[in-house]
Amino acid sequence: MKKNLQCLIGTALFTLILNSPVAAAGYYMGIQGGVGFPQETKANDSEGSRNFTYDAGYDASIILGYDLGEEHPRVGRGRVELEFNTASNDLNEAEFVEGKVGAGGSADRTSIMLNTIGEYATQAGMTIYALIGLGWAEISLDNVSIMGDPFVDDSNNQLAYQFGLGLAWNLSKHFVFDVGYRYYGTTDPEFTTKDGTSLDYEYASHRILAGLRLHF
Amino acid sequence: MRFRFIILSCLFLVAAGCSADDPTRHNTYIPLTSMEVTGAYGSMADQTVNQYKVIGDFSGKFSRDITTEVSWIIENDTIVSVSIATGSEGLVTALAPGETSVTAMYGDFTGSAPVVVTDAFLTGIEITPGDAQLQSGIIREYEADGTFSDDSIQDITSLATWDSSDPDVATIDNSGLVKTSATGTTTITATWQGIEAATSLSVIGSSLTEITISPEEGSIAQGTTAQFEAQATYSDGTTEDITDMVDWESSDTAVALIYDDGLATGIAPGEIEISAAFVTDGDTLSATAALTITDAVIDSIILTPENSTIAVGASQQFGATGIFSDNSEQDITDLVNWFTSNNSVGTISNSFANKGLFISIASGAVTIEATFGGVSGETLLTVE
Repeated sequence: MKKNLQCLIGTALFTLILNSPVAAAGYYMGIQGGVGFPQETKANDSEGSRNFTYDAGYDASIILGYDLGEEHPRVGRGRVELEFNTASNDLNEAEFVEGKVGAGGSADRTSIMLNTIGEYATQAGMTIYALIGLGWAEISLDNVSIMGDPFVDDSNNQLAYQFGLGLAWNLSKHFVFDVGYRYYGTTDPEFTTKDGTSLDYEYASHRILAGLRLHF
Repeated sequence: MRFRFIILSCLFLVAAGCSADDPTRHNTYIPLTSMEVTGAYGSMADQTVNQYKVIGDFSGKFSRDITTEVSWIIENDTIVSVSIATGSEGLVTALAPGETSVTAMYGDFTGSAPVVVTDAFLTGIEITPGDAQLQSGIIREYEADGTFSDDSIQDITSLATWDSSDPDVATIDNSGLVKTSATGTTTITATWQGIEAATSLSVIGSSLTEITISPEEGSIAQGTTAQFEAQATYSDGTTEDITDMVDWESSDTAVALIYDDGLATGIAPGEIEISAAFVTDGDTLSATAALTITDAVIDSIILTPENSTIAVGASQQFGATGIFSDNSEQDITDLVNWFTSNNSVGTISNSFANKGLFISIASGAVTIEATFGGVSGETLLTVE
């Protein structure tokens, strides 16, 4: 197993060194990982609104896509991809009119996004890109509590969207290293609290990601 | 391609600026541990009204007005009634002379306050503001204070019948709200129980040019209050106190709250901006002030006047100054709880209209004590 891994790494490095720094047009797959910073959330019930803040949490994706390369001059450089994403953030504080108190549990996200990416290749082998995506998300409030009191444990499906900017470096014809920022949001989910009341929620997150793409 | 980047960059800027609005829900997760019921007046004349207020202490973390959230019980409903109608919760109306009590219930907690209805009758009415000069196109609250046969004074604004002699110049509704509409002079009258008072109102054409807040900056300890005032300046150079007419707002309600009367309460350490906005003729004028909430805690309380002497039947207003851990001083007269060592010599008021007012009954010496945040201050008072 260890030898196989060494062989894989060696092959990858060899490929990087020997190939020209232009990613191939065609299908690709990749992985991305990073940190998510959800925005302060307003949660409304019949008695008014309280705000939730979160800790930073993990954010990870697997992507399958198609790179247009230089073969479609009328469209320009760009990519289309499917992104399978998961993220989780622990709740930090709940803020009421009287101030902030501790909150527990987590806000979790699972989503599938269809992203379109426009690219601009620089002379230095770096690509600047802008991304916009639309998809579906399941937002879960997992064992959320306020001051230790169970508050909500529920999930809800919503339309999701994101847009972002990033930089990519063509390490070889087949490998691309990518760093980027995404602003991710959903239409407002609605949850049922532990006492049966309806809770209108907001969900949006800032994503900082780094990833590697393998172009076939 | 460049156009796409510009559009997306703008979207980022919009998104990055988004944050949740200030919360509007009260924290009901921290349990109530005590509550205090107080009336605007220690006693009330027959047929008048007295607004009772309930302040809840939530485990020492914060206190807030829960008047609209409690249930009310009157011990003897032939003497007074209490309103539960939205907007007038806790308003006690006197039905007949006598003594009873009003009790507020919040969950398992109850708090009571005595209600004393006297047989005093109305002898005069005073309207404020008197002989006012107002600009055209503004709304102003008028108040009527009734003087009674026992020399007590009560707000009878909501009881009086209001009238304007020239509705083309200004109109007034039965809550005392005046709206000026044209240049000229009118007479505003308030009538109750057969007694009438009148005051003139001149409406002029000058316009509002600026509003200011004082103080422009302030610093208070967490859990204490600061009073802000708003002043209007008109195009003819005249000025006017509009504290009760502006919309007050705190830039961060987790740090400090500000109420309609310009009273700010420090919730947590931090720095905020207090703003006041006033709408006139469709335009909004605003002003801001800076308020710092410190984490200082109270060290001692000094009461004034010290070791005083008054005659039997006279009253004495006491003040309390808090000395805090950062050596700052604040007037905390309205925040402390007042006590007297002997109620047979006199009583000291904790009602929000007369906090710290001692009214003597008989000769003797008493210790006046004020407590706040677990600290107390004392002084001696002799009634001769």
